[in-house]
Amino acid sequence: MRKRKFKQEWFWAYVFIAPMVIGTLIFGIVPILYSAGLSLMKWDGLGEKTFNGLTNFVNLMKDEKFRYEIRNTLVYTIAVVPITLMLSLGVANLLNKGLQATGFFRVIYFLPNIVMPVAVAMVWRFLLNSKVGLVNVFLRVLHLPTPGWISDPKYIMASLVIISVWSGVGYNAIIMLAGLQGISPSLYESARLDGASSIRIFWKITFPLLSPTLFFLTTMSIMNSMRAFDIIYTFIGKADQGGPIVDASRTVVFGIYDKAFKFLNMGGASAEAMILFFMIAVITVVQFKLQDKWVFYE
Amino acid sequence: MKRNVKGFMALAIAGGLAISGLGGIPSVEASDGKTVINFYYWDEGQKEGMDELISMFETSQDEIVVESTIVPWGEYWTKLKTALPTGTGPDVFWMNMYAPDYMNAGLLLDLTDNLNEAGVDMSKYPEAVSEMYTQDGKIYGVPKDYDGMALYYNKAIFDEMGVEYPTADWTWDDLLEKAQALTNESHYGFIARPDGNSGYQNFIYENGGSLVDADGMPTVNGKEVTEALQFEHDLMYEYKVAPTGTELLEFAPDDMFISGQAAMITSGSWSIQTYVEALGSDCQIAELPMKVKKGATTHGLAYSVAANSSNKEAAMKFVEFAATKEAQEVTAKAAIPAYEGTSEQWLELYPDQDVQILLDSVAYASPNPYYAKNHSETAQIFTDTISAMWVDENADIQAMLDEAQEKMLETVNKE
Repeated sequence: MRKRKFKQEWFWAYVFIAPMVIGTLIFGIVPILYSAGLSLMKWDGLGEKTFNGLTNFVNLMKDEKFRYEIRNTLVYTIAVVPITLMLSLGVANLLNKGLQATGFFRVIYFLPNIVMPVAVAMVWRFLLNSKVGLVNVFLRVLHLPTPGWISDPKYIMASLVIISVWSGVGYNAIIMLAGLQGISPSLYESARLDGASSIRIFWKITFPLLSPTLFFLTTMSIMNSMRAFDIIYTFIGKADQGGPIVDASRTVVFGIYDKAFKFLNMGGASAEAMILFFMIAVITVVQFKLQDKWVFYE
Repeated sequence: MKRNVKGFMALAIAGGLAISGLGGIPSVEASDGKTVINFYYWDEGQKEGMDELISMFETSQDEIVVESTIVPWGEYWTKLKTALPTGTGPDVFWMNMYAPDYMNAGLLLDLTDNLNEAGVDMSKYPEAVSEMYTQDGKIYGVPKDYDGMALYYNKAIFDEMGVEYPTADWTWDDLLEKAQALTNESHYGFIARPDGNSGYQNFIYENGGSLVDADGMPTVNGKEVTEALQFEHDLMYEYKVAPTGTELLEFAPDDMFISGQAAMITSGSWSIQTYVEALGSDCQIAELPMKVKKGATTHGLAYSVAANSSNKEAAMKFVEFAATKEAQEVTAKAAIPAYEGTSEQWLELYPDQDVQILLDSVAYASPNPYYAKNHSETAQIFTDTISAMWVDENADIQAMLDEAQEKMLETVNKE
């Protein structure tokens, strides 16, 4: 009797996870394997697929644009992730202090996250315009240099980082706020009774208890930054331009898009996608390994 | 609570099944036994004309029904590329300069015999357009519309600076001279746009040059090309009568023109609506200035049929119908129709401008370059070169073009 019930429960368990598993198989695993196969082939998306070994990878290694893409993706990630997370932590702490109108500020900070990336890019293009943009108007008033944020290859990456941080802080801060609010106030009370300083309270109570949230956000932010595309593609502007400004801002996914949908080089695009896949996989595995060192689970 | 979850799951699964059921291959036969052909195009702005064309066709016979779908430009080519080889695509669809990719892959139906039998006279369409859809003497598309090219100018700025309006016999020297007279702190005389179709390509053609030879091999470092690009570079950096490439990254050329920041710009017939809406009758049209000859770029769309369509006969009937003078007339509102003498309706839309100039430009126009192999990748090298040249005050034009030529040859010959 007991055994039968046990079996039945397992049956239903599988039924319930089936949609998830099937979904992951069809939309996750199968495409990954398909791309892995394509990365070893020459295919224009129209005609016959022909096997060409590692040619796609060799071509990538010879391609200077691919080097720009790797460089830009890493620079972008290394800049965006820490800045976004630190600012988010600050914002989350402020919101958690229970200042006036927390709800209002929560909405304000979260808004950029629900705006379409295309719209974000368009508005920021306007704000960062070197002549009429609001940003440079401010800088001019303060007698600071007014760079060509959207036209100077030296500054374009900085612009992209600013926009991405702006649109990412809200989401991260709200998740962190949820984490902060999950910490029992009694812990703070007793710490304060024992005379602990604010800094000590942060490092000994807040940070450890928030670390699972931070770990989740760091992992996700890194993955998302490595895959950055939409904001960058729309921000750089017209798809049919090229030259220094595009070379200074193209990311790996930008390259994948160009190869697959502009040049009809599905093999090359898949090869680049596989490289990105392994880069992200390695980084994520390392993060999980390092988790023991700093993440604290209650 | 538990029950709710179960109910929700059941609903979700049922919903999923229903959706997947709907996503099947559309039926080929309508309920009343008529043959249904699927027709794809991308321009929402031409829906009125396309709907009228379809209803005209459906009333002209009673065996074929046309099911039209607007696939937005962003997805159009991806969709065609994935659907045509598997036979799940449309029967009839719009084609543009990407046609060689599809002709080479054998995805377009050879229409030659049918068009001949139906008595369609191909000489009624601009040669620059019909050539785009012809390969080895076989016709793969019926011309639908085409673009004209012209020099647009802002009359108000000419009046303000007391400069006489551009005329048909203008040369590059006139352009430079007048642009200098029109430039002051609030506006430039001209915009040297870094675009091929509407920009530098016209200068190259005017100078008797070409970016590609008869075999589809790049010829981008020829003397004529270098001179044309040097002239445009000089307009920006030597004479400073046009915004630099860096400025054009901040303000799009069209925006600069319609906001009165420049007196002249080159562009195609597709721009006239935007320009006239912004500038009214101050926006005027003149012929492109010439160097050794008159030159312009044209580009035109066509109707094509899928090679593996299951309704070839019906699809061909529709395309033959779309090729007729009457059919082309009703589609004239948004674009210049390809059939000779059907553009009156289009002309009437702009009574204040001499739009005939745009129509006439097709007589001396050449098509966009098309490289024999790996076209997009080869073209991108040239685009990159132009972008780099436009923002570099000290650009060595010849050296840059030599380098581009070498890279492009390598790419075009790549397997």
